[in-house]
Amino acid sequence: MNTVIKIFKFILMIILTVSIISMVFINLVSSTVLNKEYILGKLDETFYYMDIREELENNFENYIGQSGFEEEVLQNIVTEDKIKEDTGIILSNIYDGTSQEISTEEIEQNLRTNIENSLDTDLTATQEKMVDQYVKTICDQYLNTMSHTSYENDIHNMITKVNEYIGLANKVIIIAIVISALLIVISDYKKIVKALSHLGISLFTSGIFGIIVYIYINIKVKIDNILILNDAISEVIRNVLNNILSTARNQGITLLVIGVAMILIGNGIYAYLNRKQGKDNEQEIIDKTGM
Amino acid sequence: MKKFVKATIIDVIVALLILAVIIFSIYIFLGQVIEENISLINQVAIKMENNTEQKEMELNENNRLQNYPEYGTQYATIEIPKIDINLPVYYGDTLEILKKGVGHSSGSYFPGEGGSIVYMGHNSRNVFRRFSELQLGNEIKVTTSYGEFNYRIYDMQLINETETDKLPIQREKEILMVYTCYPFNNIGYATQRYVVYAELVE
Repeated sequence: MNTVIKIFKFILMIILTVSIISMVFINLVSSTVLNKEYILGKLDETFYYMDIREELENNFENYIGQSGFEEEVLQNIVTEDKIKEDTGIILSNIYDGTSQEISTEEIEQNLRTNIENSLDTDLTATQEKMVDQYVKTICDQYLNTMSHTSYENDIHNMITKVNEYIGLANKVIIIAIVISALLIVISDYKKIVKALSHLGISLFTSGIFGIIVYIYINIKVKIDNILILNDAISEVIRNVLNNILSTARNQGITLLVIGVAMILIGNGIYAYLNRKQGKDNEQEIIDKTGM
Repeated sequence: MKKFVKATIIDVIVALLILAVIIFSIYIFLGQVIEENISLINQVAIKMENNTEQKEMELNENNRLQNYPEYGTQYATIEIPKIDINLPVYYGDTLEILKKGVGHSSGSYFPGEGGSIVYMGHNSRNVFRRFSELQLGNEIKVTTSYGEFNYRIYDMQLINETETDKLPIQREKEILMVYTCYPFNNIGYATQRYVVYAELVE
């Protein structure tokens, strides 16, 4: 019977540990990559708008050489504020499900003004058509650099589904944590302080797991070398991944410390009570026997 | 105290056992997926080695260059006194390179090797916009770390962008071919190229 209870408790501790790990993971994901405000904060932190502006200017320059225009025509056609505004639109489409479109009217206007100022003579009809084509090319380039996907709505639907699953998973996990913790306490009803150390074991294990994940991913993945799409986006991705990992490590350390404290306190109190009980029994025997 | 230490050790062992069970389960059920995803991420994790060390370039006895420059690096300058041009020459012909100066087609020979050398540049004001002012007999000087090479223009042609046979790669005679987009004041995409042919003088 004793062995059955021990195995039962061991299973309960595994369930509790897995639930704690899942809860930490889910909260980590929903507070970072699934959180629009967090992403906006990271874009600011990594100077995303400035980098994207540089990226855009570099891309625009590719069209200057053979166009016959001087480089000045592309100067100041895009501002960081415009990039910030359009990034907000894209993120709203992705996270909030809006269907806003990026306007290139301002860029088009700035570019046409620069072109007109750079030309000494009036354009022929053919040249005007070519200018229209050139302006369109630059505006398309802007749109391509700003938005790397035409599936914003699909991503939004995916995020909505993930959020629904996360909500459901959170409820299930909380129930699992409460039930397994209660069952551990109940199974320790004869020596209730031992329940504290048994709960501590799950926290301790979850903590070590978090630290192991941090070390494993750091060894296996060269996060600082990740390059996706362009430098600005890569920098944001690297920053977010590093942030998630360091948060996982910190939460792991916190859980480990709490777990160790609970194990020590539980075992300490249990040992103390045992000792006291032993002394009381001895005193009782002495009192009874008069020896 | 003994009981306390013993109980604590047992709890730590139990914790490690639970950890082993969880890690083993993850390895069994998700191990392959995790490995695949990690290798996918590592495919975009390019190691950026800052290897800027460039070995010295020199011509051997067969007039072949030893230690070619790294792609994208500057290895020479080109001077065309007639149109006040003095520009860096980079090995390669990407748009990125052409933004910085003159590109050297990677399929062609290097100055001094005795073959066709193909250079290209944009028709912008700071590069080859003034090609129309060039005349037969004008000089072009290419200065590299392994020598100075002077060429004289002997022909100029207007070709279509698809006429690659007008830029023949051979190793019988050292010819420098420099081209740019035409018309020089073109607006939009140019389909013609203006090629300047120059032969080695010294």
